[in-house]
Amino acid sequence: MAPPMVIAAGVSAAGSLLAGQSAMAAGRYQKSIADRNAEIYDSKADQALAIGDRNVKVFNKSFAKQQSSTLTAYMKAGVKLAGTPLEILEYNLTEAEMERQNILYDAQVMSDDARQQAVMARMEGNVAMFNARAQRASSFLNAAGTMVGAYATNNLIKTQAANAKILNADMLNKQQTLIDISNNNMKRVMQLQISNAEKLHEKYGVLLN
Amino acid sequence: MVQIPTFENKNVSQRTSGVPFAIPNVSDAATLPFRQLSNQADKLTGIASQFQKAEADQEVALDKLNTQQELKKYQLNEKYKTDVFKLNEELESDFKKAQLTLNRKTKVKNAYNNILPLINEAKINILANQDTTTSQADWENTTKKIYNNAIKNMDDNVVKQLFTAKYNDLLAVENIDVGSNIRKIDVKNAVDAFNVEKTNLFNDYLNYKPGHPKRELAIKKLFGTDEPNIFIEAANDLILTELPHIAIDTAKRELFGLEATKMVDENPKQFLKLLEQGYWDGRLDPQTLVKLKDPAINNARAMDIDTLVAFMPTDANMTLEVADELYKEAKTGNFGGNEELQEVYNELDAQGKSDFNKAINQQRSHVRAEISFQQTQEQRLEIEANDELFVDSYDKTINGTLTISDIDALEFEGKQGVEYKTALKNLVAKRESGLLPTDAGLELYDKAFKMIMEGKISSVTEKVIPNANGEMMSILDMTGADGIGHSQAKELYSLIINKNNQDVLYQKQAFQDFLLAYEDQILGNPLYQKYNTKSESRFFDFTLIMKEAYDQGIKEGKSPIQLLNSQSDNFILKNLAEFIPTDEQLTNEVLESFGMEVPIDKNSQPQRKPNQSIEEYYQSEEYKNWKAKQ
Repeated sequence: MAPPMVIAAGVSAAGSLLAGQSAMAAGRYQKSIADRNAEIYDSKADQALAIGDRNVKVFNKSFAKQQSSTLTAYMKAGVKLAGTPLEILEYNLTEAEMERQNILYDAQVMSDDARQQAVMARMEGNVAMFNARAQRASSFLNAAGTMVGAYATNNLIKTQAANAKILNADMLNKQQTLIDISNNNMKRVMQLQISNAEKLHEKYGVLLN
Repeated sequence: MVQIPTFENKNVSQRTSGVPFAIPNVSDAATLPFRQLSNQADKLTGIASQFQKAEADQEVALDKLNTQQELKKYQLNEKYKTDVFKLNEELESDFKKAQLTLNRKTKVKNAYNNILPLINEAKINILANQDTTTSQADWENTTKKIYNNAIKNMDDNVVKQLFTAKYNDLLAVENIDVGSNIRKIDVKNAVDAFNVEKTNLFNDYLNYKPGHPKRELAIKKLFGTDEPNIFIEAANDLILTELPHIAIDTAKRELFGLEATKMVDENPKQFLKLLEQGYWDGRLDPQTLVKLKDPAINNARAMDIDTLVAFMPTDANMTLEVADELYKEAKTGNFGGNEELQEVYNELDAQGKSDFNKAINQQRSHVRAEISFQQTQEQRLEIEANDELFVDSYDKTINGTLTISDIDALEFEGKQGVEYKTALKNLVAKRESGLLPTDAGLELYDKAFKMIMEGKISSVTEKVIPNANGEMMSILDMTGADGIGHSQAKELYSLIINKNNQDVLYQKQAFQDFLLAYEDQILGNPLYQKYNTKSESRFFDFTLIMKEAYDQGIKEGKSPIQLLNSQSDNFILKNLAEFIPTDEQLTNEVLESFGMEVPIDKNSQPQRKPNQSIEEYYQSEEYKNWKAKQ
């Protein structure tokens, strides 16, 4: 049976892996939203250009009408279309062209902004995915680290326990050796005492009683 | 005026394209795995460090442990060395102290032992001195001198102190003992004097007749109520262990008891007469009287019987005929006409007559036994005196070197000697008639052996063995062709001579039992026995071989058990199988018994040559060759 620490490390690693998976899911979600936003911005960019074209067309029509009015006015006034009246017409045309260009410019700007928004949205999606991947990688690393750490810690504990065991055994062995030496010494001392007593008794024995 | 419309570009665009992007912060995310990796690496580094630390710690701990171990070992060994050194020093010191103590004790003991005989001698002298007036002072002076002499040469104060203490202990005990003994001597002297006086008075009373002054004085001194009553005097001297009147009563019972007992033993009839007269009433208690009465009657009767039995004295020199005559006279109450004895006899009661009959019968047995013992002693002396001469003469008679005139010249002693001479002459006659022994009378030999062992034969000339015709014969009579053999007769003679030697008897009885035990096996198949005249001869040869081996063993100091026990290494019949005849051998013996010729079998066991010892026989080439073939 695996030790509790390894089980706990396994649970922790599994949690980390799940957290990585969750981060990836969240990243994917955020990327999909960002992609959808980018599409919207792309559509807006297209729409801005379409709106510019339509606004140019509307302007053209409006300008043509105004030019016609101008020309008519001249004609009514019997103004020869030379010199100033022509210049005025030319001027109008220039102004109209400028207007037209303004409209197109605005449309292009709006479209570019939208495009840029789309790019940003995509970039945010990518960033979210990047974050998620990083998170997942981190989780993997965390899980692996937890397991390796647990394994290493377990080994460390085992090693420490083994070392402690060796130490204890050695200590016990040495204690036994010391006790043996002590006992042997004591025995020899006692034997010597007895031997001395016997020698004393042998030589003097009951003579001293 | 016509207004000419003009177109003015009013819509000037101010817009600019592009919005600066906020720079997304991806660095955190980008570095997250690496930071994570770094963290994990840090963790692992930490664990690795711990590993390393643990290993280092382990090494340090082990090293520390080893160092401590060495240190402790060193401490233990040093302690051991110190202990050993200390013990050796202590031993040396103890030896010195012990030696010193011993020397001192020895000196004290020697001095003490030296004074003991002196003290004892002084004690004996004091106790031997019956004059106790100076005893105590003598004792004190003597012991003081002994002590002073003893310590005179003691230089060592400790020795002196020890000796003094020991001496004082001894003296304390001896003082009590001596004092006690002096007192005892005093008391004993007084008690002895008292007892001597009392005994003398008892003797005066018992030895002198009534009315004699000594007897009367004795009664006064013993039983008087005033002085000079010895018990009252003894009480005054504090040597009496009871009150005087009790002592007087006790002395009365003792004295009259002695008087009565003495009378019962010495003169029972007088005791009975005084009893009848009531003399003992008040002097002896009834129980004592009852106890003494029957012994007195029995003693009176026994004395009468002794008087009567003395008519037939125990005289070993008396003949049996005289003894029988005296017995008859006593038994009939005639006592050779002695009236005094007749009267005593007639006065005996029925019990007395019965006792007398028993006594006179017993006396007759004693007299006969005494006479018989006397005769046996004389016979034994004769046998012993004639022993050597007879054995020598017997052998010479058998060997043909002795004539009848030679036998007449032999100096045998007594009646036994005469019988020996006659028997030897008969043997010469048999020898001259060719009737010398053939050594084969097994049945007769067994019979004679048993009779000797049962004490029915005491001499080789005693005619107590019945022959086939019912005539009584002696051992020498039946030594001949149809009787027992020469060696058998010698063996029986040896048995008779040694009949009082239990060792010899046991040796011979054990050997005889041994022969009987193997007889059937040696004789062989009983079916052949009836017709086989050779088997007994063969058995006889066997007995001679065994006898030689047995005698040799006995001579070498071996016991009958060692020689006759089949489990013993010295068993004389280890080669039993060689003596058991085969059926073929028995058949040949039967054929020979019928006088038929037996074909010579080269494989048969070689015969032992005359005068060849059993050892020589076994070592002979013939025997070895035959044995090898077997």
